[in-house]
Amino acid sequence: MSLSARVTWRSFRAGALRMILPGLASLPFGIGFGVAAAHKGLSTLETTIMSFTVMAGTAQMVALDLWARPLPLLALFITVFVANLRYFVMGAALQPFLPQLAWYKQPLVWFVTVDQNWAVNIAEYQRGKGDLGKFIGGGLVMALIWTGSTLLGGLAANGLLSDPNLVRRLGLDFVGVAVFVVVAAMLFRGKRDLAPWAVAIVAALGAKWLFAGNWYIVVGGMAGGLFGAFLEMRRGDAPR
Amino acid sequence: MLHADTLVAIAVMALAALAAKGGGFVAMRWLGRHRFVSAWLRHAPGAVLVSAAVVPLVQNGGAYMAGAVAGAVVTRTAGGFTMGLFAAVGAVALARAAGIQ
Repeated sequence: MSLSARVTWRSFRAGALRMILPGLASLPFGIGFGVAAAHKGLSTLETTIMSFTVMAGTAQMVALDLWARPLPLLALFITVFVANLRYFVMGAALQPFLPQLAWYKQPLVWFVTVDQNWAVNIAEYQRGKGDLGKFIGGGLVMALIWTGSTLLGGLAANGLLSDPNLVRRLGLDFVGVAVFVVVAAMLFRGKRDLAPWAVAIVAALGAKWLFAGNWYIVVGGMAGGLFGAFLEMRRGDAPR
Repeated sequence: MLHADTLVAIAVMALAALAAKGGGFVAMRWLGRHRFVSAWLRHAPGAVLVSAAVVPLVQNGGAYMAGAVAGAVVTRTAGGFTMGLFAAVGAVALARAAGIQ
């Protein structure tokens, strides 16, 4: 089932237009991230560059937890990689539809692989109506909206939201943690997640107690993920 | 203002994000679908998220706990990221207005 790897202006525009509304859903989070990044000492320009090049809100928010000088580059790499592992799965699901895609076009496809854009386009690919132009157009619009929203947050942090007490009163200091909770609630699949998540929680709390810094995210994530995989293999209930 | 070390860190983060996104795409060419790898990939994102959430929740208590409960409940019942996010942040603001820290 090979799908079109052709990109036309018409399909690019159509993909871009339809992802404007889903992209706007990232506004509150983006503004919250911009505020949080400013309070961590990042300039508005640095936040903007980060948002456009990394374009992974949850991973960026997790990385902010590690943000202390000297900047822990290895921990940042591992944390962002692990926090983005769902994209690994999305990329794997996408590949069979673009088997002949030229190597130099692949990084752009990876870049625009973000949750809602991937979901909308993979559904079309599965129906045999996939279009790379729509995929890239939608992803770039979402990147621009995400970047713009974090820019707004950064500007607000230096103006209206520069008062930490106001940020606290409005609950905006909670945005980062709220994203983890909300996305986790969206991912929760019931009983099969309980034991792996319990292992992750215990491992994270233990790691926080044992190690300085924020390695607890990596330790908890790895422990819970491996335990979940082990359980699935033992029960033999992994979906084929 | 731009700091050289910040730009290096951002480049590392961008590389990590691209590696995660492209890794699955590239790996599918030659790894196939090994069951343990697939199972780990299914569990790892949720485990990362709860690990990232639990420590600040335990450290901050009260208002954060109220926000987490509100966010999770609204996300599961009303459905959706934005509603859940507003509920979580709103619950923290309300809890603090009620004197819960």
